[in-house]
Amino acid sequence: MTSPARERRERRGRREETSRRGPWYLLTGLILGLVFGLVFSLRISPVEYVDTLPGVLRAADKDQYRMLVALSYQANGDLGRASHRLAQLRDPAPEAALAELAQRLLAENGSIETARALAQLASALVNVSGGATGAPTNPASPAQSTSTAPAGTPFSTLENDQAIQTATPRPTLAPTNTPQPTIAPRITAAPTLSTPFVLLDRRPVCDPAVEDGLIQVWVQDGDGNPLPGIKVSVAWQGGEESFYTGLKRQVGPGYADYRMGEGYTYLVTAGEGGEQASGLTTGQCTAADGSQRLTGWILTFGLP
Amino acid sequence: MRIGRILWFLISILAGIALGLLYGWVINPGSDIQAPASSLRADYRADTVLLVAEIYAAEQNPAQAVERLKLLGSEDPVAVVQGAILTAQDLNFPAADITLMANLAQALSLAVPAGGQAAP
Repeated sequence: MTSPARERRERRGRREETSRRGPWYLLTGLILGLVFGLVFSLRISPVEYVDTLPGVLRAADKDQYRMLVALSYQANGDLGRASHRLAQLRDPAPEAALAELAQRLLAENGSIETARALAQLASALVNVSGGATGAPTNPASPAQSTSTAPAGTPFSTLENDQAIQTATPRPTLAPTNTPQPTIAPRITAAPTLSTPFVLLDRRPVCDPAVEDGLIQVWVQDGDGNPLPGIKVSVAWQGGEESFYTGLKRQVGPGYADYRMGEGYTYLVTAGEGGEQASGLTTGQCTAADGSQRLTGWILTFGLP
Repeated sequence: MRIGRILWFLISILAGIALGLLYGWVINPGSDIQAPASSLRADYRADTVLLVAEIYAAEQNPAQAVERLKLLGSEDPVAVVQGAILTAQDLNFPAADITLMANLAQALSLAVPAGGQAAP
């Protein structure tokens, strides 16, 4: 039997224990719930996006989109439309993104044809932005294009952060159909892909810091600005190879290089039908540190 | 007393869950939005199909076109193109663009059997 005094003591003891523990159990519950809520909302059932804009696509899909735009440009040559489409991705420098993607494609043994299309589009964008008109950059009216622009080409009516977040049924599409102004084609002084580049400088290199027998090509516009996406052709007896500037962006956007083989004589051109740098060979040379090396070359091509 | 504590404990758990869901779904649904192309708004979907149609017009390769349309999801490519044509008509795309898409739809409907893979 429990005496009333003992019962009172036990009750008092429980009260003291409770007050000693405090409200920590509430904090424990809150933390447990928070962890579960975060895991559920961020991992198990994250937000699904619908009716998004190209600018918020994941990186891989943006790359696919860029490839489509480049191949489409290669097919129809409509630079206005291509640049407006690229503007939807909101890249700070669309031509740089194209060049980087081309470089990655080549590095990953992807489609050379697609890489070429990317480089050509990058080159065309650089040429346009270097000219009088400039590439369109206003994301609010990306449907503007050349005279052949589609009136129905999509344009943004929502900001990126307005992508609808929902786990609910998708809203019915309310098609936007705002008339878009068309821009008459203008004649500009912008260089084209076939602009003949001239050889501005040609220097042999015997530098231990540079790979043996390396031809380093720099291509620039009339103001000395580097030009990415310019086709550089290297020819030798019995062979020819082409590559593009800007694929080694860590060196420079207007840079490309090629490693010569011993015993061959090379001829290098930039762009189509430009001036040639001929008679490039790998001779033996002595570097400043006294080491024996193979001569390389630094070639600078530019617009006259 | 004990029942009261259990009740408050459960309430605190629910409050935590609510806070977690609020954060994950509303406040910060992702440090960066990474939406798949299949979530593109219909007008951009139509323009992406138009891109594929423009390339197809030059290449005439239905299998490649089907591969490229997979960017927009795993739906039947013919249905994707047909949906894009409807959107393009609604948005008054130029007739030439709609023709390109129609040509693609026609080529795919001939080349793609039910199931979505283009004949080699």
